[in-house]
Parts: sequence; C-alpha cells; structure tokens
Amino acid sequence: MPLSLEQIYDAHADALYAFLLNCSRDHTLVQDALQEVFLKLARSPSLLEKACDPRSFLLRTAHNALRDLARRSSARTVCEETLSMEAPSLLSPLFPSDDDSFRIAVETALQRLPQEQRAALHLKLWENLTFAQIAEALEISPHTAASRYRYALNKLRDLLRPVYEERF
Amino acid sequence: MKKPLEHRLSQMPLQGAPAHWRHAILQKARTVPESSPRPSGTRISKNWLALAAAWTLIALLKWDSNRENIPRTDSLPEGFYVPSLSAFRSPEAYLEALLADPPSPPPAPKQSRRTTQRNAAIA
Repeated sequence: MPLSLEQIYDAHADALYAFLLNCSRDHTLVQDALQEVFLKLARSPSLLEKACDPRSFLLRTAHNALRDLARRSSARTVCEETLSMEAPSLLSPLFPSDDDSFRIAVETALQRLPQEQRAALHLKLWENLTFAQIAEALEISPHTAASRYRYALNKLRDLLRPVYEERF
Repeated sequence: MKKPLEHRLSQMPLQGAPAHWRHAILQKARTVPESSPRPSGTRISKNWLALAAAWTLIALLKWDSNRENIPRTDSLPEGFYVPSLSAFRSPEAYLEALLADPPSPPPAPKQSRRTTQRNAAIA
C-alpha cells in the first residue's frame, strides 16, 4: 500500500530540511524546495514506490528543487551571505554532551565550506550514504563525491583545530 | 572506519523542520491535481505511429512515381483490390482508401448499347 503524503513527510521531512538548510542557509528557499518535493509527490504518488531507496530519491529531488529555485531567484542567491548570518542553526543545541562552543564552531566552519562540499559532507556524515549514493543524489561521479567529502573534512579539521584536537 | 572527528560530527543531532511547515506544505500539496495517465483508448503506441509513417512514405513514393504514368493494373491474387494511386489527389486520401473496410470494387466499365447487344447475341 502506498504511503500517504503525511507518512512520507513524517518519515523524511526533518532529514530533507537539514540537508537543504546545510546546502543553502536561506530559510525561504529551503521551505520552497521542500514544498516543491511534496508537490511533485502529490502530482505523481507512484514516484516514491518506483525508487530503490526512497531517502536517496527524496534527497536528490530536494537538491534539484533547491538548485532550480536558486537559479530562478538569482537576486536571492546574491544575498545568500547576508541571509546566512540570520539563518537558523543547523545543529540542535539539545544534545547534553555537546558543549555550546563546539557546536557554534562547527556551524561557523560549515558555513565556510563551499556549498558542493557541504552537500557531500552532509550526505556522508548525517545520512550515512555511500559515495555511490551521494554521487547519484548530487548527480556527480562517485570519485568527485569522495574527493568533495575529503576536501570538506580536511578543511573542517583545520577550522576546528582551536576547539577540537583529533587523537588517532 | 570513521575517524574521531567524523564520528563526533555524525553524532551531533540536526534541527528538524519547523512544526508549522507541516500543515502548510501538506495543505498546498493536496490542492495539486494528481497527474493521471492518458486513457488507454486514446493512447497511440509507437509501433502504430511507425506503421502509419511507413505506409504514408510508401504511398507518397508510389503516388509520386505514378503521377505521370498511365494507371496500370498490378497483378494481385484474386479477391484483392488495390485502388489505383493516380485516382487520388493526395497520399493521405490514398491511405484512407486503403485502410477503409471493406474496399469498394472499381466501377464496372460502361458498355455501349452495341456491345451489350453483341454480348447478348453471343450468350
């Protein structure tokens, strides 16, 4: 039996929101992209059933929607830097073992990464996707997905060094 | 295997979508009409289109080559009737006549009164 829109929303909306927010930091654009995903699903309810991995499919759809919307509203993209300062935080402060300074440092460091590296990093770290799945979601090659992830992680390591020393 | 930083980052929880978005997004999605597939009766398969195109092409070529010629009778098995190409103004009309069922036989040639009388005398 196909899932209702409500069930799909409850299962995936939070993950899609976090991914879109990490990619754009423009709250309005994120909402529009999320809306686009659900409009598409409402138009063709069988889309999700045909997908091998519903989460990967939705992430790709969301990423495409975000890219299209950003292209259409170029003025909004120009203001992205300004908006990003006012954007809601990506990381939840409710985690007891995480001190606030580290969370803020991660937020700041993430914003300093290029958007495409942030997207690859997000899908690997928080969605646990393989490089092949990331490649499919972002419509790039697995090799590019892997290098974007490694570049992002190295940059993050450098940026977080003052607050976090990695021990091997 | 994840390195410590990767592990630490992946353990950090992410913010969820604002609660009030749920109603707005789902409400708007519900107003969109579902795109329905075309009814099967009106669906034209690719094969049929290809067949029609091939027929049209053949008819066009034949019609073009026969325009200047005197109509001739092709030898066909008994019972088959193919209308003469030159009797039609366009290949489309020819194709329509071919596809129309049952095919109408050609009109019998008009006979003069003298021929009729001669035939009757022979009979």
